[in-house]
Amino acid sequence: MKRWTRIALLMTVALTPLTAFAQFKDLDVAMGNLTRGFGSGDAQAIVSGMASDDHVQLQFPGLVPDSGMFGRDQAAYYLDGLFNKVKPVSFEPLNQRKVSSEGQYHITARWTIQVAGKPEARDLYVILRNKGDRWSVVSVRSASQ
Amino acid sequence: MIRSRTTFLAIAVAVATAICLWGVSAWHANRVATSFDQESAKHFNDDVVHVRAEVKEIERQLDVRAEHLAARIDARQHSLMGLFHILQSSEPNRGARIVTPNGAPIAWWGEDLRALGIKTYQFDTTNLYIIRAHTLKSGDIVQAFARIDNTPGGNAPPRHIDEWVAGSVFHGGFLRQEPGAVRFVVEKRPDATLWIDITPHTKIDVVDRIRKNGRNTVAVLLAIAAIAAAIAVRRTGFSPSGRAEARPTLLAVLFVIAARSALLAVTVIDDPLRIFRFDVYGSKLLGPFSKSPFDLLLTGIALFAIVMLAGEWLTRLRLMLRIAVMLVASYGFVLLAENLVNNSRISSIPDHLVPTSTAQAVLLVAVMLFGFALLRLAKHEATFKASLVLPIALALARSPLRLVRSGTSRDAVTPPS
Repeated sequence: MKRWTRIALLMTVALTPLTAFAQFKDLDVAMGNLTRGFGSGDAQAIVSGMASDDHVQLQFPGLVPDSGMFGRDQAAYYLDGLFNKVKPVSFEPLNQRKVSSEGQYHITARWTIQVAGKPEARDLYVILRNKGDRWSVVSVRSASQ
Repeated sequence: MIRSRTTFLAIAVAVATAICLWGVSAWHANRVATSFDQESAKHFNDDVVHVRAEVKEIERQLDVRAEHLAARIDARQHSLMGLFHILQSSEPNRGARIVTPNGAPIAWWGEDLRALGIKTYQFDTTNLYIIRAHTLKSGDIVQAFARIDNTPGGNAPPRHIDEWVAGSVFHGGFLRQEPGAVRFVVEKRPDATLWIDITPHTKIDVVDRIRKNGRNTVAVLLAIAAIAAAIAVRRTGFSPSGRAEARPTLLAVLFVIAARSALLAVTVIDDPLRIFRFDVYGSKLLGPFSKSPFDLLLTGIALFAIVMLAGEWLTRLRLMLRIAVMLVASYGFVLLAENLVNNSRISSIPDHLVPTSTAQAVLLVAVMLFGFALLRLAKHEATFKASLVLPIALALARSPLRLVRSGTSRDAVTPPS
């Protein structure tokens, strides 16, 4: 194989995006990822449930000054910043409700975090939406302290 | 050769300066950490001295204005409209009025005085008014005043925020002192006293900011040195026939990459233009090289510079290989545009010709630079026969494209069953 052909092949392989399955396969996977994400501060576990072409509502009053709709990559930076500021301790689902008419799944959870070394518990409201055969995160909001 | 040696000597000096600055910044941060209380007290005292001087200067200007107005008004009898005319001024945030001894306004101009105007310092919800008065021969009073923004969190002069001060507010002595805030007297007059409450940053914040400022300076210096090196290498990298040589070109490209990488260390804390953070635009497509509008712009500039540096060398590649590179680059550009739309809270294309915000302008320029880089890749210098390859490739690709397009348009017009 000629040198230039090799280089061309290498460039093609390097620049071809990896097609990864964003969004959760089912609700069990979704709950598992959200528990891991918000329980141990793993932003990637939460972001993996966001569709790349959707915007997600994020709101953490008192913890992050910005709120509103963010793209998936922006949400990853947002959650990284959040978990740098607060140290998650636990994520315990309190209530889960399927709203079939809207294709949504509403989760209310108790989120325990450490802010500047002090423990704090907040209610967390997560909304998942059914898209095809997958579930994606559309909104994560925290109650203010 | 001598010029080149001088350039590289200058670059070495810049790099050495950057390293020294890093050390100085680390030492300063350490010193502040160990003597934070004394340092902050000194800093706040200096700030108050500065604010006091500015307030005094404003008062002096107002005194001059009030005296000047009084001299003009007392000079002869004026009609009511004449009085309005005398008070006329275009100075921003300033105003003047003539009131009766019991405070009823007769004529006025400029800022609206939303206070009684009976003391030197008066406040409304979001403003401080500094008022200087002069009694006229008639017994009426002419007042010249300045409105100073006193919004919580604001930093309009004479207030300011820096690595020590998180915020400040003027008041007349009745404001409840916030926890951690430090209170100072700015000016004491027989009729009123002006106070300022300064809210300091925490010790961790101050030390962090000093470190970041030091790191930013070092990163910018290193980037400048790398760019200078790229230019120097490029200048010397031509063969006697005027053609760009491969090795110096590659070296120049590496210096551009080094400059761009050095600027990754820049962290801007106060970002009123919203170009250094992810909230307007932030992408993971190019990793840290596209984490904010400013990063995307720098990456666009770097890519454009690389393509311009290596352009001549790229034109010497075989046409098929260049077409492959072009196709991959075009695909990458489309991905970047798609990712930009998905991860941006504003459009990068202005509704009209002029961008409505700095963030939009930065995104627009960044996208244009990526586009220009792509166009430079497509620059073609070849024989007529060799040039036929591309039209033939496009013609072959046209049939499947037409099929896709016709399918899409059919879907668009066919009503759903």
